[in-house]
Amino acid sequence: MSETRKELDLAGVADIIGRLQNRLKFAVKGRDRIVDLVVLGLLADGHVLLEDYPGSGKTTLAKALGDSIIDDIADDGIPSFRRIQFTPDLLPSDITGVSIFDADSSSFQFRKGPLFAYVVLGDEINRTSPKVQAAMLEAMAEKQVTVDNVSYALNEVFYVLATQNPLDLSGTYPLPVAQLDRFLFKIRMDYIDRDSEIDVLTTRVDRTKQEAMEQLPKIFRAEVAQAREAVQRLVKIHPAINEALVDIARAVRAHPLVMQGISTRSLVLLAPALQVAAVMRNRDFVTEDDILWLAPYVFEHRMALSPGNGHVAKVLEECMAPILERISQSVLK
Amino acid sequence: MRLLERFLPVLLWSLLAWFCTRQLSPLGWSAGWGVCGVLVGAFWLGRNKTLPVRTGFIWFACLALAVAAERISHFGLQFSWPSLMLGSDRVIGLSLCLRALVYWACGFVAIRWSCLRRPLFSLLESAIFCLLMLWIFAGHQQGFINRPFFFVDPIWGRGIDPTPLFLLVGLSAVLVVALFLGQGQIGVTAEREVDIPVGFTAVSRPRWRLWNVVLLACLLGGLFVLLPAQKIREYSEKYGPADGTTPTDERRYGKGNQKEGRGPSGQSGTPTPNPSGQPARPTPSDSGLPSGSSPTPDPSGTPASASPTPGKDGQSGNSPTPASDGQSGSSPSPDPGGTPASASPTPGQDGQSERSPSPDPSSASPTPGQHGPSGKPPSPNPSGQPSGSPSPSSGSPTPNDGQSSSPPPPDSSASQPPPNDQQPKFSDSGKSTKNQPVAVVVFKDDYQPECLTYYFRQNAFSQFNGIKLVSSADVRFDRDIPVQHPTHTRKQSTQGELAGMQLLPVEPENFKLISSRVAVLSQHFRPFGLSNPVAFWACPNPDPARFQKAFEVDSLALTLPYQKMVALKPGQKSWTVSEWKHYLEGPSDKRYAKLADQILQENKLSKKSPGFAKAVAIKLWLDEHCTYSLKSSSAQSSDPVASFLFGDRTGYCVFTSHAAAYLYRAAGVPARIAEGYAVPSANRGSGSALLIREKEAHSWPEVYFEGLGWTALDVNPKKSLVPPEDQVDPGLQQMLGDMAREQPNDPPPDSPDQPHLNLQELFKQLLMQLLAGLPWALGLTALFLLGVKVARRLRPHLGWHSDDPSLLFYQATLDRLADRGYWRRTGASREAFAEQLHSLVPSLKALTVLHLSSRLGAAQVSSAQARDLWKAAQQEVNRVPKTWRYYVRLLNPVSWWSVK
Repeated sequence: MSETRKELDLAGVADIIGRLQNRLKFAVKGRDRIVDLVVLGLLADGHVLLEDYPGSGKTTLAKALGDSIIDDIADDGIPSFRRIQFTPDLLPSDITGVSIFDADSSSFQFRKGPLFAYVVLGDEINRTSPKVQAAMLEAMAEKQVTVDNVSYALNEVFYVLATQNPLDLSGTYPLPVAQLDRFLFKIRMDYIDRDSEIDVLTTRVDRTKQEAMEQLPKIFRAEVAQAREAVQRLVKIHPAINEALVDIARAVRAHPLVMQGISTRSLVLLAPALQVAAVMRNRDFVTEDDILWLAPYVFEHRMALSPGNGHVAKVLEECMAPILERISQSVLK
Repeated sequence: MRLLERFLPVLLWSLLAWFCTRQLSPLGWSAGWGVCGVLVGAFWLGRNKTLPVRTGFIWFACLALAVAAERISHFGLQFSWPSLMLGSDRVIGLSLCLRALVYWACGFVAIRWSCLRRPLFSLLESAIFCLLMLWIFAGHQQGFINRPFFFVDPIWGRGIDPTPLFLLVGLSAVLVVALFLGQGQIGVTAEREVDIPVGFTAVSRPRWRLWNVVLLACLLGGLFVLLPAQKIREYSEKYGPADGTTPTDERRYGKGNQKEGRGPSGQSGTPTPNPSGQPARPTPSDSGLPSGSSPTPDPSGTPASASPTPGKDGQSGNSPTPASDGQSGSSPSPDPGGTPASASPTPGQDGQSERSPSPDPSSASPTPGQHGPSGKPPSPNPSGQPSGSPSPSSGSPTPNDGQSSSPPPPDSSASQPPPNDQQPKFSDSGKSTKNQPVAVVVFKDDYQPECLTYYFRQNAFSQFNGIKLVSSADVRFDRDIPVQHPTHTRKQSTQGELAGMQLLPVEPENFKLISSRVAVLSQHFRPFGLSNPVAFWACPNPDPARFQKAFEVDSLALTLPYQKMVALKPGQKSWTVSEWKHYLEGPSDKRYAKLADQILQENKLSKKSPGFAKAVAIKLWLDEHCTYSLKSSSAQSSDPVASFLFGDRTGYCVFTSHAAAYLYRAAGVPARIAEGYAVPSANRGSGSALLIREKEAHSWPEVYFEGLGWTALDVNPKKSLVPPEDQVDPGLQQMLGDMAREQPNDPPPDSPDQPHLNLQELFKQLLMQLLAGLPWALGLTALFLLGVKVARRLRPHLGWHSDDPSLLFYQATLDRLADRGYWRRTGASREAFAEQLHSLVPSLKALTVLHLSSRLGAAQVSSAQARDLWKAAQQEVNRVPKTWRYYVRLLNPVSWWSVK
């Protein structure tokens, strides 16, 4: 535990990432792409919105992630993993916590809600009322909850994995754009391939495999914070990359089909994600390839096109291609 | 809409197939097989467009199929048994259809296939399409409204003017092209998107737009340069203003076509309204006309001429059909004795002898055997009335004859100088008496003829054929007539051309050398100049839109005063007896000699008197006793000259000149008749330009004196039945004269708008220059680029290090890979590219990262490390097997350009 106190180098970060990936990929079959992004989100300090059909392993993934983080401060009452099932009648206090009158001390005592956890799985987030969504929003943006005018800080490793069903939309409260903007990634999940699905069925009954996962090395809560700090410090973002990000944002905003462009906050959120991506690819600098990888997950859910006009992905590609090509070529000159 | 997009190419190609096959093939219905070919091709392509074969294979297969079809269709013609079995016309038809079917199917499949696989081919497709369409309509574009025949003929046959239709076709073509180009939707079907069907349509890609605009601009520029603007201007000038005859013609041809159904296909060229043929239409086409072949007795004259006159050819057998000629249909003359001939608008000559004579109702009895000895029908209709009282034809001008107000020309060949065998005609067919300018003469020296008339001789007739003077077939006579246009300009040779003339021996002091420039507006088969021309030069046409031709003439113009001519001897000393006889031969009729003697005696002259005095006496007597008229009753006489001279002495120049020539000859003065233009010197005014109009065509008698050569001694009857003619428009004369002057070199200062900038010519020259320089420019550029390529290749070996060694070695590796056909496609990152080539060149990935880290990261890359990676990569690249493409790419001068 003492060794986590010292400053991490990039090899250490890569080791942490490797451990997380190993565990998650073991737990969830055929979802390597999403596992990478979820781990990336955790280290880049950005929340993730998963959009998928029920029963596709979202909870498993989130639970595995929570399990992978060792809760080394056992007595603070903050578990490593909490799951909130959002329903229309949920109240903000149900997730933030509530002040209860303690007869012993004749004072109000704050009882922490389920948001106080390292990894929070918000299931079907679009089913709950905007009131609850707003409370969630504050928690995600500020890493604090306010109950009775008293703000309570959340843990620094506060990581929300929210899900929503893309099809079953009746009786839902679709997330407003402002709230969508809080999510770093919105990831659409597809059905897993055949082999992975068979694999899932075979491991269901295989107890030994379940236990084998428990044997895999976990990470410490403090390591997450250290890794975040190390990535920020060590991975270089060339000015050309920053310029390209801004240019992409401007190009998207200027595109005739786009009604709502991408926000500055998304760029701010994207920057650490790019750094983590570079580390995941064994580099200490960000290249345009990282932008190419992450941009769709970051930008697509923030853009709104005028109705009936093409696909977001296509528009984004059109806007990005010349700018990225320009960096690619400028570097050769 | 989707359906339209899908089938639009098939539709367009079918259209193209139909047009092309129709244009090429003599069989109309083989065009349908061309369309079938396209449809078959489209069907096959629709089924097999995902066939996993290479484009080259498809091309080869299509070519092979086409060749096979060609051979098969050839077999049918090679052996006799298919023809025996089926009939040769069917065999030919079958082979044509087979070829149309297979060619079009193969062509369609090959091109469409290529377009589906490679977007760039759609450019080729568009180009082929446009070029073929242009080719089909190219004939039409030259100003011939009746091309393409297969398209226009049926329309004309129904009496519809196809001009708006053509405009519509052209406009829609431009619109379609602009639409396609504007949307960037021609072709552009990528390999992955084969499911997008067939396309002039397909995916629109914004980056094509600029290219399309450039293409459109090039297209328009090319059209601007290549369009024959002059032809179009000519055409519109001729077609636009209706000048009297055009509508008549049109109606006539239209009617002829309608009435007689369709003319034979050989005549499809003639029913054109193209008025450019108006003055210059070759005569044969006239006689070939169905309507022209039916000579026209006036409907009123039908009963009298019911018995066909043997003097005419057999065609007159069908003559009684009323209004079989458009002319009588368009203007039925109410006058029973009216001469429809005078209304005949065609300048042609052949049909004239049949068409013009209206059998006089009173003289319908045929008189065979009165033809001239030459065998041709020399005078129109045998008429039994040598000198009747003013015949209906001259006494009562036909009311429909709008042209009778102006004097007729001497003969029908006014607007078109006759070939040698054409002779002056004694027929008062009043036509081509328009004020139409035929030529303009610009004098460079001042000259005022003493006789107050400028004579421009075009032809001369001296051979007496028993009735009249015709041109002599003997090479000894009348050789002072130019017979061909000059070919050398003044710059090319200072010595003028004789143009086939033989100069006469003359005394130069009697003449003044006059230089002039002649620009003719209608077609003339021989040059002419102020009498007597001695030298011709060709010169560039100053304004091809207006003039047919221009040339320069040096002429010896007579300056000897008439008083001094008295001393001259008639004839030439060197003449032989037969020559004398030729120029003195006249009618055997004794009345001529008697009349000549009588005239001489009246003037107290004897046989011994000087020839010139005798000739002048005769001229003056004729001046006194003749009456100028546009119509002559003698025209239909069997001996028109005698009928004229010893009759009412009323007639026009052909009569007066013949009468004068016979009398001169009777008095012993060698004489002949010249034909050409005679323009009063008053017309010239004060300017140097002289306008010759159609109505100034003339024939006049000429006499020969030693030292003078042939000199005009014309008869000017004092009495005239013709109202005074209108004056020439001095403005027009001046303008045409200015146009005819030498322009590019010395533009006249008083016409500032002359040297206008010919943009089109400029562009054309520029284009030509560019095209000529293009191969050199391309070659040099290729050489330069190859040099760059070699330098880049050698750079790492020579150790030319830039600041960033990783860049150098990375680039070198990429260059090598480009030669092998691997380069990063736009949109892929460099790492993705390295990843993609990981199996082939594993070192590339490390090299890429090395380079990137030096660029985007903060790392300092050591040269040795980069060099090692480069060497490793080099070896890996060399292990990639070489194909023939490698060697092609090695020569590709821009392969390094695609390295990004």
